[in-house]
Amino acid sequence: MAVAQDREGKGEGDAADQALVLAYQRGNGHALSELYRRHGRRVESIARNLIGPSSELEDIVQDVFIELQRALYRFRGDSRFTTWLHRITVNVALQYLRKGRRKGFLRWVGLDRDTSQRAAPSGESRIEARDVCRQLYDILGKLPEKKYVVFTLFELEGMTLEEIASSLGISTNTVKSRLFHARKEVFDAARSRGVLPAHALQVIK
Amino acid sequence: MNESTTPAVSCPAAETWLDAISGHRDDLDALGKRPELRVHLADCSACRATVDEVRRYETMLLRAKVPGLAPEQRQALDERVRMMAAQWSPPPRVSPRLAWGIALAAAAVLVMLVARPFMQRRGERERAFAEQLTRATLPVGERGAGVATGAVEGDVEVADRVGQWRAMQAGELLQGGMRLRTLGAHPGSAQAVATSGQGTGRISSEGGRLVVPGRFELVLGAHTELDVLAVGPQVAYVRLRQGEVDCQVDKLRAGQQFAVMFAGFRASVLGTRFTVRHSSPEAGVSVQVTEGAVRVDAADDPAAPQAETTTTVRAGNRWQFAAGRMALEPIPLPAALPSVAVPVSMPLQAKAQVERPLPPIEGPMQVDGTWLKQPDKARRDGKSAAAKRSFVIEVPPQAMLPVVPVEDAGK
Repeated sequence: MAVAQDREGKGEGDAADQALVLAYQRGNGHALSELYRRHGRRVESIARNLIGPSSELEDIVQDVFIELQRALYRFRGDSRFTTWLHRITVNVALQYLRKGRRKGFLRWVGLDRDTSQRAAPSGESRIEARDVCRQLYDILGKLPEKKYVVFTLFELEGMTLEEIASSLGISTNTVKSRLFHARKEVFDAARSRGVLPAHALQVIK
Repeated sequence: MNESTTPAVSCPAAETWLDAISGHRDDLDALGKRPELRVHLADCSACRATVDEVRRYETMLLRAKVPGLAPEQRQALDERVRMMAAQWSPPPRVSPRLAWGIALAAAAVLVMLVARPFMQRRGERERAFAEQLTRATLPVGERGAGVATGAVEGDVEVADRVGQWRAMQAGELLQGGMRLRTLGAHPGSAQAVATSGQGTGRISSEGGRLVVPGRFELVLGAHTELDVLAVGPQVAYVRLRQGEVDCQVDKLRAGQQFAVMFAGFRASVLGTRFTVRHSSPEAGVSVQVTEGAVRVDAADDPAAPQAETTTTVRAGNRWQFAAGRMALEPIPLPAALPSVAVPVSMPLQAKAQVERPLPPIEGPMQVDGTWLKQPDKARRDGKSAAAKRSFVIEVPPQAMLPVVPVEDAGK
């Protein structure tokens, strides 16, 4: 029943997105604002997890919507709008990452501004979380780009295998394969570096 | 062995947990719920250590949350996107017609890029043609003012400075520096011309005719190419590059000159009518005179002084030069007119005009059913109008005769 409601909600959301896209294509620029209102947070989340801590997250999100603005005329509704938007987001984020990797600059600049609700409540925990995040992205930085993207979208962003496959334009099996190897590499690297936290949350029941 | 940090590999079951790390999270949960593994975990320290690592790994991932935008950053971003959406007006979608136009323009650009080397080559050809034409004709200052053509018949084409051929129009100015040509069957297919002493001089129905009233008339055979060296009130010089030209020149006034240059020779008009042929190196060149007289000498420049040795070719004679031999002979006539009808094998496009002298006839005379009017001058000269009619028939070239230079007997 819940699944049916969820599907129905998704269907309504898709219809609303389609209507907004159509309105934009017919000259209503404010439809872009509405699309941003509906999907801006998700775009920000995907971009944030893909690029890691960065002071340029704001610009990247804006770049995503600039790119969306240019591409909206080409959208014909062959796929879901969100899938299409996520693909744009991944592409913009990857462009940023490639640029950063070429220039070799560090991106650990926004950790002290962590104001998200998931931030650790105490100061000590916040520092620990910052260190964990830094160490994790340090490990992820060593991964090949394809594994990196799949890992971050699955483990950090929480997207399903199917969503990742649609957003990247690859098959689900390819996503599984990349994820399998990425997780193993990350686990081995974390274990060998001794960066695993001292205490574990109750994950396995 | 430190169980909290060192992976336990002594137990084969520990590998199961490690493999589960790489699989789906649900697999890990399912493994943890299996009763036999739960019992095993209670007894195996190695597996407990491995599971502990897995749990801490999962914890690390849960804790590694990248900070999001601060409220003020998010507010600024909201404002930027809102302004972007408000200020930006979507451009109209490209209409199919415009898309086709763009595609055609792109195709045109592509074609231009592809064709550019060929066009450059063509430009080189045009420049080469212009240079060749410049070398072939006289300097600009010596080309004369040109004369207006009265009639142009047939397929006479004229080339511009870059070698572009176009049909020559009646009334067009004939100038030095022009190159004329005719197309059609090669005159070699209907080889030499035999004429009587007089005639219309018609060469081939495939060529063309160009008339300058009061001056001259040029009948170009098929596949003939002619450079106009100089044309003006006093001079008319042409160079026969190839083919055959029949020239009928009106009586020259004092100081006027008309010459045809061909293969290192010059045929200067003393009388009125002659035909110059320059078909191929094998066939050589020939000048046959049907009216008046023509002086032939060796010269490259039409305005050059008269050579020491000249040959005057009078009406009814033909001067030939081929294979290093020069010959002057009467224009041979066929034995009997009916037998020299155009052979079937000859690819003549139209009935050849046959000209031959007729015996003087006193009184009215009918030709082809028409009563001819005899002019007073002809009557005074003892010649009839019919006697002026001549016939030309094209026959294979005759064997060359020995060189028989004839001193200028026309003077």
